[in-house]
Amino acid sequence: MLPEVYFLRYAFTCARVLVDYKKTITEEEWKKMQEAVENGAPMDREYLEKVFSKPIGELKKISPDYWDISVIREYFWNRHEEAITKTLPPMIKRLCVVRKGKLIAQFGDVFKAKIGENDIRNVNTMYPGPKVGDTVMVHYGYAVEKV
Amino acid sequence: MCLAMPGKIVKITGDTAVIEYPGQTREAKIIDGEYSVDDYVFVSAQIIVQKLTKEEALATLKEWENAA
Repeated sequence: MLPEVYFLRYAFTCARVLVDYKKTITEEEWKKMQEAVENGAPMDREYLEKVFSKPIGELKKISPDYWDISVIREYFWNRHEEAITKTLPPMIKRLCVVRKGKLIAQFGDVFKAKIGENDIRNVNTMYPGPKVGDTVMVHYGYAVEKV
Repeated sequence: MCLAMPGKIVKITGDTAVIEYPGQTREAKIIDGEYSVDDYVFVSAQIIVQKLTKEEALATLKEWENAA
């Protein structure tokens, strides 16, 4: 998978905020991102760096080779929580931390995911062939990848 | 940056809920479970992700105000 595709799958979850509250991207741009995520198509790296400057800044702290998938994974799996904890209170960030969960039920194209003991949420999936029983990485309302 | 804003259900028609946020409303699909008008929920990609207690929702909305 191209690193631009991998990065956008995780970062797209946060992109709605850029439209509705930060107003740094337009609704049209958000729809293009959604299409790119749905089709697995890469977006321009320079554009992603401009739009998602904060997480990209965090990737750069990990490695100069910050477009390597292992670096992107390291950030979203292990460092995203610390990065958003610095600026966000706990109630807001609760769903924004990337966590491992399990798909426990299916309703058409939507799945129910269980994260830990008490966190159950409905999620859309971003990977092909999702099934009940899959262990997944969950970011807000998305099961981003199977692990 | 990743932020989660709870919305309040103001209308339910079948499996579609109208969710109210500050300054706007959006529709979202009810996937399963029981929901009522005045319930607070998180939404993503036009589906209701999770219901919150009123206390959680009001605390989160307060945090939003302070963060703005």
